[in-house]
Amino acid sequence: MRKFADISIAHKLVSIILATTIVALLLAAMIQATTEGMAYRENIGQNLSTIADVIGTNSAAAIVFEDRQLADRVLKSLTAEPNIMSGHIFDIEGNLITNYTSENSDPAQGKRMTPAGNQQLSSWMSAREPVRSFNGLSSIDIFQPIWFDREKIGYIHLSSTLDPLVQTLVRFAWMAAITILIIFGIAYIVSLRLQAVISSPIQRLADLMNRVTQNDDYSLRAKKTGDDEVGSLIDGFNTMLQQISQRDKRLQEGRHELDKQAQQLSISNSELKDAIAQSIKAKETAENANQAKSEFLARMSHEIRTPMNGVLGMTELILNSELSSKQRHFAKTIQTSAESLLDIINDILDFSKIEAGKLELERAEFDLREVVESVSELLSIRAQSKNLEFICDIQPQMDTSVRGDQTRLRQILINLIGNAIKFTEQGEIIVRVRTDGFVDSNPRYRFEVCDTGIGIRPESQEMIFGLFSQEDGGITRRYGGTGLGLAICRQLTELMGGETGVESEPGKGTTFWFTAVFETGSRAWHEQTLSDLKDPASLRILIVDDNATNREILEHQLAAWNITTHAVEDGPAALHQLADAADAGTPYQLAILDWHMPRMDGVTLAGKISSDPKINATKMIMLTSAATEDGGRSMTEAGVAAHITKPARPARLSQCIAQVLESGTAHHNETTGGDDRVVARSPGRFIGGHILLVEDNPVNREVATCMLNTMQCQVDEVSNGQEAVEIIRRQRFDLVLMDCEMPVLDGYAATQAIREWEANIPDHKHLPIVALTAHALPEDRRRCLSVGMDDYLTKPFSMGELRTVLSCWLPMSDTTIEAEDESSASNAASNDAIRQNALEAIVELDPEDGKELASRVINVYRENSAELIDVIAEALSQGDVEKIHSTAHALKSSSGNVGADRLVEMCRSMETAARKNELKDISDRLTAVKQEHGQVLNALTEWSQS
Amino acid sequence: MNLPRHKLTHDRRTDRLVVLWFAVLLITSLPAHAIAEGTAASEYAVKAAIIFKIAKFVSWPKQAFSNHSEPLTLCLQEDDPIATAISALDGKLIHGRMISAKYFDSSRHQNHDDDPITSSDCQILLLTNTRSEQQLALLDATAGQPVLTIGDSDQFIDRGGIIGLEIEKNRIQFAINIAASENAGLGISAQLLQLAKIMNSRNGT
Repeated sequence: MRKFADISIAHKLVSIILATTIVALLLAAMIQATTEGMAYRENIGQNLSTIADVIGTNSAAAIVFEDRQLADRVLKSLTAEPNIMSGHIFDIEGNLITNYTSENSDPAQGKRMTPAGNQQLSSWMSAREPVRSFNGLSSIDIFQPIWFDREKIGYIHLSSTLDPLVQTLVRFAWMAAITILIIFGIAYIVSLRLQAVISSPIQRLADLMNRVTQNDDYSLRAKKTGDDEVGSLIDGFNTMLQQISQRDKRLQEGRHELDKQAQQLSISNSELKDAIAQSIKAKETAENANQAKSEFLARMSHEIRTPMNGVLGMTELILNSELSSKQRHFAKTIQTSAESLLDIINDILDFSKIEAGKLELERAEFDLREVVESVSELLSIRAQSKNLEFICDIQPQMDTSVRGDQTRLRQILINLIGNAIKFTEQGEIIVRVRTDGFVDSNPRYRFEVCDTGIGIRPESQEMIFGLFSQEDGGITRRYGGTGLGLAICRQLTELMGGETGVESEPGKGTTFWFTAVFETGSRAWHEQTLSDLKDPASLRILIVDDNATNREILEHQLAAWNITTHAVEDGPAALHQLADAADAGTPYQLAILDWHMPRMDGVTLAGKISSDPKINATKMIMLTSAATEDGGRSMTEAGVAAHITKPARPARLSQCIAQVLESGTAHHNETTGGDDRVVARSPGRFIGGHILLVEDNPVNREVATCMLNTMQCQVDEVSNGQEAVEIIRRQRFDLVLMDCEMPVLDGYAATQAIREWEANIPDHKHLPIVALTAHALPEDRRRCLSVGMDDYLTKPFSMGELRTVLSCWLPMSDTTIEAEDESSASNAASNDAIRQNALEAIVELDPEDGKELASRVINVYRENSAELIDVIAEALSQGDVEKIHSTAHALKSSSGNVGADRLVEMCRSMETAARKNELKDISDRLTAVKQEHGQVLNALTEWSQS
Repeated sequence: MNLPRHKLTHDRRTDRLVVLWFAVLLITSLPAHAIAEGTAASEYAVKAAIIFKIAKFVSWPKQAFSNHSEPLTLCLQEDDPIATAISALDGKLIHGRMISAKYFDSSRHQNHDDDPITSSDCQILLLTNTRSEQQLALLDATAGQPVLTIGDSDQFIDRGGIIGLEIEKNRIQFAINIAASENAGLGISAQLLQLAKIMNSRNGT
């Protein structure tokens, strides 16, 4: 159904008129009907009353004389009134005299009044006024007294039907309905005509609007018909049309203007596009140029490294040969210059990379402590050669497992520490590491390098971080250096989220510091604590060192392991303290002695302790500044159990303490540790082994070969990867040195080929392959390792670096550590397989037949140990580490008896490996054990025969 | 006595005819007023009530009363046995006037010239137990005057009386002489006429 608001005005008007008319008519009709009805009813009542009066009067005699017949007759006259349904006459007592019932009425109704004493009758009789009672629309009752001669003589009751009233009303209703219909029709016709007066002008206006909208013709105007509201509507509409047409005109003009502007815009747009294209092109060109520059630098760096390798390697070899002092001076100068040149090249490469934003930091897990300690250790040699005290102070209990670029951290440290050593003539160098809050929940560390050198003037302090600058030209001349170092450091620390700074006072010293943010590492670095000791807290250790800083650091470190320590600054004080403690019943289990002390040096002190029976139960560890002249013999003689090169790395210190305290019998055992690079790096030492050198550059090949030969290695040379793969299939080598970039087949592909071939040969021992690369970047190292190489050497490498790598990978390398004297190297190996005095001790047990006893011991060992080794091999094949562990322990014990100290040591490490479940490691070690075992047996045989 | 009687009779015959033709005669049974048998006193009481009721349906001309408050005088013979019953009506109202009984001596009426009963004396003249001569004389004396004469025999009507009461089968009936009433100037209600008895006079047959 449509809403009223939606229908047309014409219909609305008609509807309104009709509705009004109908409502008015209906109201009028209802009022009329009501009035008529009321009047009619009143009329009927009146009539009936009159009739009752007449009848009453006429019946007076009948009542007075109590003549029923007469009364009957009188009432009969009611037949003339057809509407009167019944009539009754009562005497004054209320007794019925006569009654009348109309023929056409319900007989029951007529009898209604008959019984005298009827309730209604008595109530009517008691009424003062004549009763006129309507019974709805059906009937009316009249009850009134009859008066005669001023006396009430009786009552009359008449009941009349109201049918005529109903009929009249019905008739009236019909009449009204018909009238309404007629008037409705008339009103409809009239309203149809009248509404046109209002709606037709509006309709015309609407039509005009439609025409305007459809044709867009704003020149049309509506005709005005009158001055009413519609008239003003039309006026308004016409005005609006006029305004619209004017606006249209203006818009048209505006659009023309816009079109013009758009044209101009598109012109400038295309110009802009051209400009952008040009600038993109320019940018690409620039980028390409920059790329080319970077590539050029990288290539140059690589290209320069190769000849530098020759220069450096040959110089080193020359220096190792016999030279006159003049020649040595020349060669030394060449070496120094070449090293400086290499430094400069490295710096320039680094710097250009940082400048180009190409330097990306590695994010690998590493142990911060390990890095700082190893750098310190490396550089401490230089410090010691200048007689500088070198102290490494790393905050104990610091979480050092981090993720970051350890190569770059090393570079910064080397640079700063190197500078400190360079500019310090006397005093000490202290390297400090502390935590320094958090940045975005990542830990920040603060590194400090303090020296007691020449210092820097305040005005120069900021300048030195600039490019190519040192404090002044004079210093450059005096100390050398590119001046790029600090600038690179600053940029690297900034890349690591930190900053660099310096505090200095000229003449007193300088402190360079930097901070760096690392992510927290997930790996819990295996910290070699005193886990081998059952109860570190019960230990008492005395520290004897004249350097207060060193004392403090040692105390810190030991306290971190819950060890009780005391520190004294010289020998006499130490002796005093030891004696006091022994008297008090709380002797020191261990004393850590510094070698170099004024008044009484470490060796003298050790001798005094050993010779005093009251305190010689205290074991001793010596801290030495460099490799000892006599291989530690004087220390051993003085009763020192072990010695450690300063700075004492906590890991090694703890290991050393554990070993010294545990191995009570191995009093003279040397525990400097097989991985002691400081000792191992001494060039020209014996390595041995059969090595394949794969190198295309003849100079490099020669350099490497010469170095290897110096280290008593047997060398085979090939010039590319293809040849290497072929020769390896035919011959056995202990190690391969593999150049990465070669014609025919490069080092990476060759390594992969070798590893594939290896995988198909059962029981083939893993062949160590060490990469030789001119690229000094972490990516290259990763690439080397990912194709299956085991280690890498960056060209140019020194003989020391080569030796370090070889000693790691050649199985026998750690057995040669004692070999100090090159002249006796050839037979040292077999001679040292057993410690003579161990067997002598057995002999001494039985003065009469000692030799016999020793032979029996040797024979038992011969059988027993071979068996044990078989058991280990079997357990290894079954993966039973528990059995390996126990068997290795047994072998260790019995080997100790015959003085096979090296074998004892190997067994011990095998035990450790078994405990750590490192099966592959055990397999490697087992081979070494077997070999060593053979040598021990040979030595024993030799001894028996002698 | 005959002469006048004849003469009267002649006149009265004519009157009788009028009565016959104009009266609507009804025998009305009135059980409530049934006369108890053998009780003379009750018969008189009923008669007295009837007389009172009839009087209510009769209207007197204005000249019958000298003033507005004059009582309605009912004259009867001193020795009439009904006198006791009539005296009970004393004080009752008819058309607003008190009923007042007035007694006369029957002997006095023998002399026509002396002390005639006129309308100014009586409005109702009860002649139930009067002797015939006296009855005649009184009827003659009041003829043409507004006096309602009530008697108790058929002859009474014949003699020119207006209302005649008679007891028949223990029921009281009455007859009305319309001509006499018109002559006397009295108005008799049509309703009363409807109740009156058809006179069946000995003369009339």
